[in-house]
Amino acid sequence: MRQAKIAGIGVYVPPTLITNADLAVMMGKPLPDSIETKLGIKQRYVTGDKLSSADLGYEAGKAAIADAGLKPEDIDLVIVTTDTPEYISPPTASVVQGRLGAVNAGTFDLNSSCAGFTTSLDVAARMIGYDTTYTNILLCGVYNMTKYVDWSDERVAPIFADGGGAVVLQATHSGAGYLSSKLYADGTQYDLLGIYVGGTKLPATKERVENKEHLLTFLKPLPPARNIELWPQVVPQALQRAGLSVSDIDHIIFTQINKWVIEEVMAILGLPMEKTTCIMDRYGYTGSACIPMALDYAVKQGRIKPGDVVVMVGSGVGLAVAAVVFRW
Amino acid sequence: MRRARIIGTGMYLPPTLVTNAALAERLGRPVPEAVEKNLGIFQHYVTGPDLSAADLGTESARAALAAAGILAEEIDLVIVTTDTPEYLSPPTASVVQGRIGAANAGTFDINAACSGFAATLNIASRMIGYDETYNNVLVIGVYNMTKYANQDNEFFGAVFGDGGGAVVLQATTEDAGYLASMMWADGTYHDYFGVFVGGTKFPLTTARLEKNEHLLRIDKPYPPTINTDHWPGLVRAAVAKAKLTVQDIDHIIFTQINRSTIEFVMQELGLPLDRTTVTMDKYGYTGSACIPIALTQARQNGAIRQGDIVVLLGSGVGAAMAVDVFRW
Repeated sequence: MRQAKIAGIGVYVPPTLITNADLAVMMGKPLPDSIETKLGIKQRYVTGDKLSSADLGYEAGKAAIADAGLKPEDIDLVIVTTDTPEYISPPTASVVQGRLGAVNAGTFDLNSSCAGFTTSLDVAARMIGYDTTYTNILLCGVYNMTKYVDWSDERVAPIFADGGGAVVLQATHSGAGYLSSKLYADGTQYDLLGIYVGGTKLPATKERVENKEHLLTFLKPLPPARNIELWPQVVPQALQRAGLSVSDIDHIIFTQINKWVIEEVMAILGLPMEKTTCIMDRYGYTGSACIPMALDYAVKQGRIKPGDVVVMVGSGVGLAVAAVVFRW
Repeated sequence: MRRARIIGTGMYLPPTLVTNAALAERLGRPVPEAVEKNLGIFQHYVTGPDLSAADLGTESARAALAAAGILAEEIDLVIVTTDTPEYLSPPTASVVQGRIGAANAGTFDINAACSGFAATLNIASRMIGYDETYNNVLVIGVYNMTKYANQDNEFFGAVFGDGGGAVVLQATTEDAGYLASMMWADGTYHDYFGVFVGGTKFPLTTARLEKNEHLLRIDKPYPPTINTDHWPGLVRAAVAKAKLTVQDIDHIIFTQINRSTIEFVMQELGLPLDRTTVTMDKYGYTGSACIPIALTQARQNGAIRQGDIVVLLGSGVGAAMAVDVFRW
């Protein structure tokens, strides 16, 4: 059976490090304790004004192609997943494809907010497995949310960080690779958290920008236990489609927004904490880039070995949750 | 073999009609002659400030569901393709999924500029055909470019129209449905034509708004022959992948930006003009919505019958092009 396996991983972290202590000095006020004690975020890297989404995607993509032992010309499709794109149009994937010189690749962006990377793994794995058209797909997750953060808001600013992570998905008949997925969405919750100005519903105006309405905005409070309820339901559903159960999981990676939530979910699933990887202490919350960044860290630490059942759960506003199951 | 088949199409046009004559009267100067003579655009519909991308998506989705004779709850996945989204985040698909009550569906947006609808049919068909996970996928193309196109410019004000179009793709084991695709991209064109402000490269500022930099801009002209250079070869390559020839094409629909380009390409392919459908005379250029709108019209006119070989070609900035071949 033709399947898609992850043949290479690449990560790019922008050069500017800001620790929680630095940030408190910058903001002139202490950060809430929960940033460190609950979310587990101690520092983050940011692009600043000089770098942006396409830079994150290009660097991570280049590293993933090298890790897979390929050349840009070998790539059949470049997918960028983000909700912080380079432009409104054209897609960020165009910029990345052009810079990489992936001249034989089609391009598109996928936006499923912070569920984007795992959703795109589902999409790309199916595109490869369907027939022989696509052999190597570059999937880049990029997050440049610091461009939309209000740096005077100490409840929001400390959470968000920038980064890029990419994988090369490759066709294989080895029995390893993509096994199954489960996507869950509830679009009635679209109006909790987002970037609401700059699209067609609320076009950019001087007044809206002066009022900071174009920035990342909480319209309603997020239900606190939402992920703790949803993730333990979605994970077994995804596994079941591969004929597996939670006890078969060798490693599982979640959206890196809240360490306490991950601990709660691991306890509900009955899995020890060494079967998950957390990187928010080092990188902050990197949204659509956090799954490949954590995957890269887990693989480099030797926490994922050939034959392992690996689950990745992306979760974001909209709301949307996507879980994918791979055999490594 | 499991394939994806289009079982319903729908379209929605917003209520406000703008003719070239009415635009010329409002601006006090004529619409450039080429708009009618070369592009073939005589009028278009606009949302005005009260409607936006999610409204276009919701209405066209409802029409497609009705045409397919299925309920929103039966949909497994809602995909919106656009480069004029409702918000930057969450995706437009969230809003549409919530409004139509597609409670069992995952959600994501695809941005491949104006190649988006054809690119997304490729994606969705592969997701359905890969295994039994997805049976019914709603693909919605929306275009609300009048929110970004300067309406006081006699060219942009005449060319761009708003609209929505949608299809329901359903799994089938009959010898009909999706056969093959081709995608082509050259991302070195990314900075020629687009909506460049509002992403992470050029964040929204009052200074940029005052200079109207956030609107749709042509910063460098595309080579005038880019479409006529690439469309015929892409069509030939896509039908060849489906083990067909150009003469097997019963109906072909192109991005509806330029009537003379379509006439040239039809001649180049050796196909009579009655094998294509043009809608730009009535609706203007409706970008990521123009393919399903033209498809809906072609179906209503009886131009596409069961068993027909149907080719759909989307083409847009980035640059990106996508061609799909279906057996109806």
